[in-house]
Amino acid sequence: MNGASEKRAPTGEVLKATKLAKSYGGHLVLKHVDFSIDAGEIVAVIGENGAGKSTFAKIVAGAVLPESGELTCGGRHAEFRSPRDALKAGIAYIPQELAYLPDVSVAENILVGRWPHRGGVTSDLAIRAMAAAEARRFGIEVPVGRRMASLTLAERQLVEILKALTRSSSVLVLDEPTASLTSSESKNLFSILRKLARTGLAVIFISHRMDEIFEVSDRAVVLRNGEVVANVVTAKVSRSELIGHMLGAAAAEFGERRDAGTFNDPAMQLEGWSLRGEPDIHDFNLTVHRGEIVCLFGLRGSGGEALAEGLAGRKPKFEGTVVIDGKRHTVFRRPAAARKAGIGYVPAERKREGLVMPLSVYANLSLLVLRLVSTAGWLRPSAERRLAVELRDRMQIRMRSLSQPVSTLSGGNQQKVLLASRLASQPKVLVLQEPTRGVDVGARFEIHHYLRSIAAQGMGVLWVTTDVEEAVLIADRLVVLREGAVVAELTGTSKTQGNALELATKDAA
Amino acid sequence: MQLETGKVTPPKASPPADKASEPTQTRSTRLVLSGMQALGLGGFYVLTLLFFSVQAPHFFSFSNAVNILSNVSVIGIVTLGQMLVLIAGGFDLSVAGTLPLGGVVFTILINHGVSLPVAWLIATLSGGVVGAANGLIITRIGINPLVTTLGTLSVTGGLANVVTAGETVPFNDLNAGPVDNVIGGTPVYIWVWIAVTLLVFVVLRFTVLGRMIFAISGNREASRLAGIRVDFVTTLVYVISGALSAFAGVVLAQQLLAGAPTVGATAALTSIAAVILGGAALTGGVGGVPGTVVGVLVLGTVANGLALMQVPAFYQQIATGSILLLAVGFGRLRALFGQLGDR
Amino acid sequence: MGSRWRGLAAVALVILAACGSSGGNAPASNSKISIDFASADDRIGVFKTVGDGMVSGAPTAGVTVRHYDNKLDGATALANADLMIQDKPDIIIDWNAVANVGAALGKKFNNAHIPCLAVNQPIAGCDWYNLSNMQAGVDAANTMIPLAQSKGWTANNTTILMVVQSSAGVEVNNGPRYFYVTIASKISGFPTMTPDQINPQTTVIGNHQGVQYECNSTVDGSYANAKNVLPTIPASNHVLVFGDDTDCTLGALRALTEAGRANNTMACGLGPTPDGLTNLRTNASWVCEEALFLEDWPEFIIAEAVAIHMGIKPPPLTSAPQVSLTKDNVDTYYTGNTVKLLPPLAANAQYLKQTGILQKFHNVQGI
Repeated sequence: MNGASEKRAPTGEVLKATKLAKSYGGHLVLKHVDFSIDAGEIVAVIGENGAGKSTFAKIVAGAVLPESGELTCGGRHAEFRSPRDALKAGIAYIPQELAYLPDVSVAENILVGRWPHRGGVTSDLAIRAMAAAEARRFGIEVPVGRRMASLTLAERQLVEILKALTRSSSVLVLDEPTASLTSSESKNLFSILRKLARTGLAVIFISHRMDEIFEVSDRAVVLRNGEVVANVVTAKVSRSELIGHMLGAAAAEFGERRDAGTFNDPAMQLEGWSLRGEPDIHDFNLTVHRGEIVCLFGLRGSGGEALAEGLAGRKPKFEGTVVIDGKRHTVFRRPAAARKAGIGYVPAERKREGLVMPLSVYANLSLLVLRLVSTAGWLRPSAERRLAVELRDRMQIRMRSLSQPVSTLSGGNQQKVLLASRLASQPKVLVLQEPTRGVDVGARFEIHHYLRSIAAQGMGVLWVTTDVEEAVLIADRLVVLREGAVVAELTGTSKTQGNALELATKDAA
Repeated sequence: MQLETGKVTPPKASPPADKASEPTQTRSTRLVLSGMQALGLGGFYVLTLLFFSVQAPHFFSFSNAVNILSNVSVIGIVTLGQMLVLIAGGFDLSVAGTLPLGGVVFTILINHGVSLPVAWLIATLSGGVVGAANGLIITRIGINPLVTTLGTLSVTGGLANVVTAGETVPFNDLNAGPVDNVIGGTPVYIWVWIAVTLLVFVVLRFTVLGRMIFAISGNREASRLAGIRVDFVTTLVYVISGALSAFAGVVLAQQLLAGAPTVGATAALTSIAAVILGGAALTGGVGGVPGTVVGVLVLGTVANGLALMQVPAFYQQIATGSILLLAVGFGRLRALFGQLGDR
Repeated sequence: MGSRWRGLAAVALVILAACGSSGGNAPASNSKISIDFASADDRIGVFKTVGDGMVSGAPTAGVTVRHYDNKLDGATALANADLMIQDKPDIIIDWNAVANVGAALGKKFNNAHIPCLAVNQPIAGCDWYNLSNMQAGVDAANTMIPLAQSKGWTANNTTILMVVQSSAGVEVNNGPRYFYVTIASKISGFPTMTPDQINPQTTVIGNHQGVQYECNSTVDGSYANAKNVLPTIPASNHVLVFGDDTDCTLGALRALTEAGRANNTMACGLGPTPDGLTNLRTNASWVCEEALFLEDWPEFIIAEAVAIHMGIKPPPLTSAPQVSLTKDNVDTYYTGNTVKLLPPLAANAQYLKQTGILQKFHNVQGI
């Protein structure tokens, strides 16, 4: 039962799914999914949240039984009653939340259930030796002797993959594998996957990150509303086409670049902002005009975060002044002061800093403007409801009911609620930190679209992000930061990802 | 012991096996837990009522229902204040000091001829002052609530003792306790408790202050970033707790017809237990008043039932502890399951 | 949230349903007298003994007893009062050790028209049974006076040493107080003091003819304070010492013994405690031990309750049995550390004979 031999890479179809269907509680999650993958292929399965990609992965992995349809594995009809069956058939599933034994060694994890023994007695050395041999065989470097829990997430993921491989898996199913990895860890993972694919391993990975799909996959299968709407060779498709398939809308709407207009009217001027800290910021000046979207882009720790937080009143140690709508203020000592001055602040971590998770959607929407929906301290439920409905419709926030806890919304919709709550106070300037992190593609573009229209209505927007792709996409003016200082302002044709990255990382190791 | 009068109802259709991680339990364990969860704390309370009705003489009667309600009126008021503090993320141990302080201040004032409403007001305010001290120390100086309220507890307890020279001060006028009067078979102070409960409920649900308390409870940092003055609201909550506790102390003094510096020894722990039982604390504030009321009733009913059953003192402690654990099981599981699902 | 509303609704229903039913079950009708007793605090040894004794003594006395616990807390005492009234017993006996809440308790009992008996702390409108610290002090003095006089001790060469616990209140300190007053009235030369003149602020009377110091609750506490006080008493003086309880006196005696003054000292304890009884039997300086017989209170309390039920009107105070144990009579009343006989009834307790209860216990001298 050897799926990956050193001598000859296998070929041909290893897995096929026909007419898969599955419903939960009367709701049809997968309607009619046909899928196939050959040995050595890397196929990305993409789609919006709720499109059915996780369900599909779980069916393939044997964790869930389909209602109808069939799976064919290595040419033979397969019926998986449990993940164990799928494993035996050579399909290994690496979920987002890894399942491993934290307190034993990496080697023991890799060989779990198959520890070499002589007459019932195992030996640490033997296990480690065997694990090391397997690691070498597949070309994946892992520290076999260390305790599993002491590894980084990326390392643990690789261990899981190795574990799957040593079980002679011919198909690897990865669910959002890079969700918590740094970009260098992701790159490492991709090169390992490509190497493994060359030996005949078939890889299915679920993702919504466009750049990854283009970086590592041979083919992309797009699910929408439980059906396969596209099955394309990655090299032959454009990003906007893929997004179009995902969202079911014309490609032309997306990926439009922002053209530099002329912005004259200052909404906010930072003058002489200085901070002794990490990083040191010295005499930072910036003007954001009305109608303009200014992006502060830089590596983590280059100062964008600090500046945004300073504007939000979270960093009273800053020195400097800011002029908003003609009025001059010294650095805000408290968030309430910033808000009063007309700054709408969208923090980076919506769950930790932005939303009150146990509260309902409408309570979160009205959080900043309680005064508006109350009289003399008494809440007016009808006014609050009206406000919530208006915000919901304006930003197209999707939910079952305004009274449900905001924690039950999807990431993208949560972010919209956060944004709406800030807009409710009608700020003069919006300061956002990483506003589309962890947001699915569809919501991300809706947010972009909405913010553009907000800006067009006269608001100034300061957008701090470490995502260069987004920065280039959304900014009228891309301000590149490095070590607390502005190194360049890119607009128009000079505003490219390459330029931005190069300027942000010059002189860095 | 006939606790089997409690029925275990079979669970509703279980959610799809898609949840991130399922607790690994046997089927029968899951049945029992789901049954308890469906019943909730209110259901558990009904079970306790049924149990005691069978086991304890006189339990199932109007007079005893009044007894239970009388028993819990004072601690019920204290618990409402404690609930607010717990929701806002703190602890108030000093209620065990503001309770006797309120009673003692009131007694001394009326014994010196101050009119009843004024004496009541001043006594309540004295508790509020202690609460303000708590709030300011916790928010401005940053000492944690446990240590802070423990400190103010010592101070207020000591104060009460100093002011009364360690002795219980009787009312000079034995008619100066209007809430002790009985109307329609029920003492007035029961209605006082009900009125305060309704007031707190309304404030929590329908006012900006209440909303801010819930927001702070759910996410303090987010509330701060949203411009809510979290320190001020936190201090206010402690003020309310101190004032309510002193208010309750005045009610108790009118029951005792004396200001005793020794009462309230168990007030802090009892009120905290009642709030946790009722679930307000764990669920980040959502739920609040009704749950707390049931929590208070459970504690009071158990004490009453065990006394009527003539259970010896030491066994009473064991029994109370066991019943509390059971009650937690009934009320907590719902919240626990809810939290697990959120992961 | 839904289930909590359901729970509250259920409670409301139960209360409504209960309104329909009669206000409680009547006790099984038989000829036995029903007594409800609330003890001071069943967690504390001496009080617990009385509580247990009430329950165990009930069959012997031919009564039924329902037993509650006041837990040394005013609010609990109030709640128990409600429960006892609900039981509708023939008599309620309430030992509420929290001073000054008696008025509230009495009001409840009187409004419910149930006869009540207060133990130790008085309750307005109820009869009263209590020990007398004053009597203990007087008895101790009367025991010591002849012994001192036979040795030729006079007011010029003797100090009366009082060991008190001021925080325990006036009544508890009546022992040492009346100890002094009695001796001063019978041996001339000691400055006459009225009882109120001896108070927590008193330290020295006359020319060190009377000295008072704080016991501080324990033997060691008393001992430490005694060591500080002794140097102020002329070394050649004889000492008559009496404290709030045996431990206080023991501390004083220990200090005196260390200073080599044991054979110049006469001490009297109050309890009795095992230590006190041992000293009484073996230590020459320990001449008496006031016995309060707390463990035997149940039969007396029950007897007084029955008397009330029979229509006998007790005096304002019925005194508990007390006796001054001396080396001569200790074995009459005690076998080892166990009570074997109780002294004759005090004058204000004579009426208890009519109830026939004490007779059933066969342990009271003279009955």
